Amino acid sequence: MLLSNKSSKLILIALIVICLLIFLHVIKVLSPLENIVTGASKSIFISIYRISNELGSVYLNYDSRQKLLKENQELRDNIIDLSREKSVCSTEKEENEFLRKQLNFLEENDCDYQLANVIGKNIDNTQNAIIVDKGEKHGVKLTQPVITDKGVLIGKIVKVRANSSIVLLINDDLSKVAAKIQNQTATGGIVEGEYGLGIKMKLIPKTEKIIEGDIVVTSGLEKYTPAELIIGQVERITNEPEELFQEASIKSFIEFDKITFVNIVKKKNVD
Amino acid sequence: MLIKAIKHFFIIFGLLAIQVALIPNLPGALAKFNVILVSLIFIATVYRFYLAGIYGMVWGFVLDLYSPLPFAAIVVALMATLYVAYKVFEHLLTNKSFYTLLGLALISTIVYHLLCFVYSSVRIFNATRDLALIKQTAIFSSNDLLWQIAINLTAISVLFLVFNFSSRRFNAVFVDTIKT
Repeated sequence: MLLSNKSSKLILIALIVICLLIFLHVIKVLSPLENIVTGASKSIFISIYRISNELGSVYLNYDSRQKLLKENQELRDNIIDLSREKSVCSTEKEENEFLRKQLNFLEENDCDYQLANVIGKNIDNTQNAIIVDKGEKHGVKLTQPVITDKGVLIGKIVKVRANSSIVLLINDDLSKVAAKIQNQTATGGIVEGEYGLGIKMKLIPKTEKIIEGDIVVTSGLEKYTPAELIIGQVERITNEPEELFQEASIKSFIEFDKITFVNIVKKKNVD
Repeated sequence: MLIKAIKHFFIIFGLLAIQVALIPNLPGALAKFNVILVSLIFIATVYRFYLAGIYGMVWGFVLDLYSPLPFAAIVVALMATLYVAYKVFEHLLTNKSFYTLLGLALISTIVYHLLCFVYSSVRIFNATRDLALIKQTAIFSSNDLLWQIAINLTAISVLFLVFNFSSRRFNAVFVDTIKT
């Protein structure tokens, strides 16, 4: 009986503390403490994240496999470079740069960017998200797109704190990006994630002609997302007679597990 | 007192760093390991539930700062899991033994996973109103759960082995009951 009363008191105290935490968080009294905690832990998390990235690579580190991975990465980089080149030519741009660095790419699209380190990810296994070490203090805003150093879109900002932000990856169920295919008709659609395993472009009108290998880019219809950010390549097309729209499975050019640096795109002249 | 405080600080933030920055990058199913939950159950069983409650509050608060879920979701999930574990310990698995540890780890993993799945489903439903998507998520989630159970049970077994060599806090159950 005594134990039961004591345990009931402890449970009540726990409930009160949780409610107090929520209340203090909502009225922003806890913000300084939250900022201190995230700010202080950031640098440690960066180091540990890099170490764990290395550990993950060591798992695959057999001599012949390492060579194959390196060759694979070079081929992927070539594909991205060639796709970007194809993107430039397809949109009839005058400039003739073939090996764009990230800065040049964003300047042409009237954007600034913020380089960020990835410090963690997926801590609750409910969403495919990564945590980066830049936040409100660095001008990061909700729904800003996030790209790799090669200019490939990987996600959008879904939560912003003073010193850190959370990026929802494009292969997550809740991710939606307005996109278009780089073909003659600039076919539009919505790119959505699939259970963290892949991405699909949906709502493609049946009258539109798309082929495997077409490059998919952002359409620029979203407020903070500039156009022509590469999303991936059409891998497979699904065109069921009973469906109103066709769908395309998209293959991304990047491995979501190996991201350590990202660029947060800040579109200029947007409030 | 100071040494104890420092010890608690290192345990709390060390495991947080491992959970947030180290484990997600590990290959394959190892990325599904929930070191916070396993540690919580271990502390609750070996020491006291109220100590685990304090640890859970702090861990939950910091994990909420790094989670895309609404604030306090993880604190609530951890506390609810701990409460279920407490009730099971109090009424069913009443002794401190290896089997109790395994049983509580199993039940806690299932409860915590279910709570996270509920959060995820509510968010998906709120955004898409698509029940089929939730059903598919449930199928994928159940595969994750099996891996989590396997890894969490393995981890807690290893913890038990390491701890048992240096402590008598665990009862000998089903072991050498014949008096000589």
